[in-house]
Amino acid sequence: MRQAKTTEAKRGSLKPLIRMMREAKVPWLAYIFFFALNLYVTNRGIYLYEVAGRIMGGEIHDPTLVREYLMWSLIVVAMGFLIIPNAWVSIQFQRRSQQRAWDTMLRLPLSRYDLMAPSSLVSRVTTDSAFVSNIMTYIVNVFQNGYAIYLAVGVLYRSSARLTYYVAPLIIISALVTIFAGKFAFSINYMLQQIESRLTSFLNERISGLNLIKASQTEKQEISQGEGLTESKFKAQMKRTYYNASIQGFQNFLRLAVTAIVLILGSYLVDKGEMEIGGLITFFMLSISFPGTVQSFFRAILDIITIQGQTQVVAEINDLPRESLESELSPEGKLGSEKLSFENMKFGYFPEQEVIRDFTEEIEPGKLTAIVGPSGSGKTTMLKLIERLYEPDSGEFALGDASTERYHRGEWRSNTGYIIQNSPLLPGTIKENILYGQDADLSEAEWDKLLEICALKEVIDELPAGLSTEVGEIGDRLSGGQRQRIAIARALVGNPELLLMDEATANLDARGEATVTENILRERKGKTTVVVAHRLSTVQNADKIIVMDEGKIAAAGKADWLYENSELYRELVDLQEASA
Amino acid sequence: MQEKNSDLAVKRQIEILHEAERKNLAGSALSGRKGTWRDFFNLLFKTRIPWLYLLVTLGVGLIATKVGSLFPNYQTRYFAGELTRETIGVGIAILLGGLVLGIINNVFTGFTENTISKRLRNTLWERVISLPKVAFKKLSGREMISRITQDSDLLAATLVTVIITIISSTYGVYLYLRMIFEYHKTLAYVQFALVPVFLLLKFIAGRIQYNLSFRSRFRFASLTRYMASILVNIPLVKSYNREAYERVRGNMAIDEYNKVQFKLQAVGITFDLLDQAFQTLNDAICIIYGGYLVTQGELDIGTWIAFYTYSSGIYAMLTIVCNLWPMLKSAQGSVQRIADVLNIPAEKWQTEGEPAALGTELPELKLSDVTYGYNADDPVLKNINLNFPAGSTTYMVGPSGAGKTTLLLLLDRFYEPDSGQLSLNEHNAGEFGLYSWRKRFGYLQQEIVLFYGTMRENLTYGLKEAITDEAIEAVLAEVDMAKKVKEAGGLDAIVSEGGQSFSGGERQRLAIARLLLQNPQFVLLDEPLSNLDSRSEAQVRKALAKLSAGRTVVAVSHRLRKLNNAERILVLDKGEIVGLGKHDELLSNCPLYQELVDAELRIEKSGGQA
Repeated sequence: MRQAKTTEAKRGSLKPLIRMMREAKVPWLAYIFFFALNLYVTNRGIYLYEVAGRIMGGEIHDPTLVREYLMWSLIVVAMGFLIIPNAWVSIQFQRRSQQRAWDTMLRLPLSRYDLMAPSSLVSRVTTDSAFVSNIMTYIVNVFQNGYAIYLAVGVLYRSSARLTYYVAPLIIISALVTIFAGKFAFSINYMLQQIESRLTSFLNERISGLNLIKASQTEKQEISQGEGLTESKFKAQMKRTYYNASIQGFQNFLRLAVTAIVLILGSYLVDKGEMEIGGLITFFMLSISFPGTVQSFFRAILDIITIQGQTQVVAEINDLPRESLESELSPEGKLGSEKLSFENMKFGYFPEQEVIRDFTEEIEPGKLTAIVGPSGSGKTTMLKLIERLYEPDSGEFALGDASTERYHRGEWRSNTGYIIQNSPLLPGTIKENILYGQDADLSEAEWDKLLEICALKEVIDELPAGLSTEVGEIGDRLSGGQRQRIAIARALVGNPELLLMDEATANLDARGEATVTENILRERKGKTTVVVAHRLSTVQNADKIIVMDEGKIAAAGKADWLYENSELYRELVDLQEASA
Repeated sequence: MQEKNSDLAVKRQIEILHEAERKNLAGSALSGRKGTWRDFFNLLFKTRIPWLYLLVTLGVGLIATKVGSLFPNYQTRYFAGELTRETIGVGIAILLGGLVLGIINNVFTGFTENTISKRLRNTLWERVISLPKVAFKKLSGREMISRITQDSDLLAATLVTVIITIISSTYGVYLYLRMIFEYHKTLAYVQFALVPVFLLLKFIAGRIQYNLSFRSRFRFASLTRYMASILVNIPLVKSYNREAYERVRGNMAIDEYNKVQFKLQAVGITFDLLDQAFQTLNDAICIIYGGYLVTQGELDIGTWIAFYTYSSGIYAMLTIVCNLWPMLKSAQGSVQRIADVLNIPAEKWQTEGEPAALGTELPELKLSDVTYGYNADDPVLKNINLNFPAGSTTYMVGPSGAGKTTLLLLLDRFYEPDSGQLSLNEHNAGEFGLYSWRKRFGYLQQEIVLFYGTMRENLTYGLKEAITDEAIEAVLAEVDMAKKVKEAGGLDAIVSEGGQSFSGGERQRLAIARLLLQNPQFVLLDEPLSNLDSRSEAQVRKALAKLSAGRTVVAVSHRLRKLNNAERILVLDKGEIVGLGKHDELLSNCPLYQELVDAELRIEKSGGQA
């Protein structure tokens, strides 16, 4: 199990952990009940050692004693099943924590999401929560082992105080070694983890760039680099090997030494009459398992401390902001029929950054509006703001006469179609992808019409599985252009009131682009559409063209007017014509 | 009432999960069969397994076991009062010897395991990087990586720790059994009547646990894969307002995983209890019957203590052996996955050699009747007959899926034709080693790749000889990137995140600078001007002109509008050449070309209006 990164957690702070447990609705009553039963079982287990000793000491002829021994032996084993409810509690904690974390991830506002590496998010949901839930088991371990130690010491002391004193230092040394071992193990494992992740990102990078490697003929150097990284992993692993070998060897030695002392000294004391044979047998049998119990106890404590130190990071997940999707007004019916207006709008992805500096304009309903400009001018960002994936930092953004904040964000997005240049498809069939935002299937007639518009009919007919073809990682025969058309179908299928396209057809081949663009524009006549384009020729007939430059509006109007009156527009048009 | 899409999708997802789980349990995804002992031994021979280390490790393990088995005997003597200097001395020697041997054993085991893991990884990495492009159609990059990282470690651990532990523990069981039979035959027989039952139960337990642990890992991998695909696409989920839908799907996957996890733990606990039950039974017999024998005088207490120690030890070692057996089974999967990769023939990228008659001038590149397909029955390129005169610039156009990029990569011998020949000045490609052929070609990808490293390392990537900084600066000046690179920190600055701090056009120009330094004879361009705004496009065009001078260029082109002055245009459709010539000629004699040009005009005419 991967361990979460350490931060400066307040030592001894149980608050985040308790909060996590409360939010995961841990079934406390069940847990405590079985916990108590477990302790009782431990008690009886230690008692058995005493009985065994007395039997060996000569009380074998006492049938009640023998019966007691057999009965308790059976009961102790049978009650071992009590661990299962504990495991169940632990799993519930894990499950609920994972589900909470998943929900949090889905509800992250994009401004926060952009700050996190998506690849790290997965482990925060899957393993980090699981890691913390182990604490339920460790708590049981601590108390069980601790109680067992307490009882065992009592039994040992009663058998022979003197022998106990002699054996005690070895046990204490063993405990100390366990504690130190645990601490070092943590840092060694962390280091190994770091190396492994460096190795994995190296491999990922190189395998994605395999074409470059083949074309540059750098296979040899990449192989050596890989070998170099593997060598550093080997060195780290050897460190761990030496370390573990010493610790384990030492602990084994201590264990055997304890047994030896018990037998040597014990037999001496029995000879002298200072100890009963039965007592020695009990002592001997206990001493075999006692060091192990001590080690488990301290290891469980260390585990809890480790988990608690990292709970801070894991619990942070519950403090992450959540996007609110609800609001008072519903945008349905209004998105396509009312004006979108912006006033002095400012926005940046990060604080201190200004991508949109001062946007004041109107987008008329039922019309085609284009946004053009040099790269970096903020065109794509404007579409994201209209889609309400982000919120403006300041200024006004309104639909009709109500500020957009008052509109239900979820409904706004589902009633707006938004297509970007290389739209991703999710794993699943083509049909599932197209119907992603929809709750119901289409009729055959509706399918035919949609596939015609997106120039997909021929493509689907040629596929053996048709619409049920899997869009996958490997072996999918779909080209980039075909995938983009599926994404376009996905956006159009719900007949969105507002359609936003960011170079949506730029990656299709000429015929595909021409057909699909013509079809979309024909279908959207009279509906509000906003288009971002690099190639000015593709939007020259738009109802309004907004020319952006460095986050501000340089000019806006129809193409002819802009050519006369906007230097920037003229420059861009001329540049494009010139390259012909 | 029709079921909601979300419910249908969740149901289907569960079905797919269970189905895939069943299939994977039966055999690997790729070859559909389980790893066999033959695969295992083949693998051992292909990788440089350090046999000597393995044998020495085993030897040390066996000696350690033997020494460990001596101690309980001495325990008895102490108990009987034999506390002489000699017995105590030997006892201490055994303890210390056991300590030292134990440490040596662990170190050797660790060393051998780590070495095998290292060698497996290196073998796999070398193979993966040498795989022909077509191999990645069957196996994704991600799967390749997991074989290099996870499967190597698993296999190494199995080979060393598991097998050696099984052998030494079995030896230990044999030694201990011998001892207790020497002490008291009847007691020993009674105690060990149970061993066969124990072994049978462990065998059944092993199978059940293996099954469950496999399913647990499988579901965890599915969960991770699903979440990764969604988390990387959160903006998509949000723009379709599907947060609630994905929450349901994710929760379902989490539930499925935890269900199996709980079963695994519960079953594990149950079987642990079984172990405990046997131990307890063993203890009970030892104590009750043994106690009886002691009072009867048939056994003395000292011997009983030794007996008890040995018999507990036997069950402990048997448990270890039985618990390790499932690990062997999991390794079967690893063997098979690794063997799959190693069985794919590698590209011979190191081979040099070219016909002496070739000379240093630009040769003519020719394709004669070339056919190629990823699957034999579905060719992507059909009967291509084409030549590229020295120094010419040819533009390849055609609808998407026509085979343009495949042809381009074929020229660089990323793919080998199923039939037909490539040749340079009439010398077949077969006469050239792959290394010597590819040296002559420079490839500008659509998505520029810049590895993590310094700017200098990235610009000189692939150069065979050392080069001065002045030469690098000169080339940067030619592509107009000198100032920008200086602003970004110069040649020593680290290029991170694949060069995301540079714009698309700037990355293109850096890649062109890289190619200029490599000085190839042929330049292959894959849609270099797509995805660029007009300013960047103009800059990249200038740089490309510099790159094309004095070289043969083959360029896949997206837009036909700019080709009126092109020297040579090649039109591909569904893998075949349907046109070759200049713009005006093609307009009149190639209907597809006409269509494509018309389409572009339509796009502009519509310009936003139907």
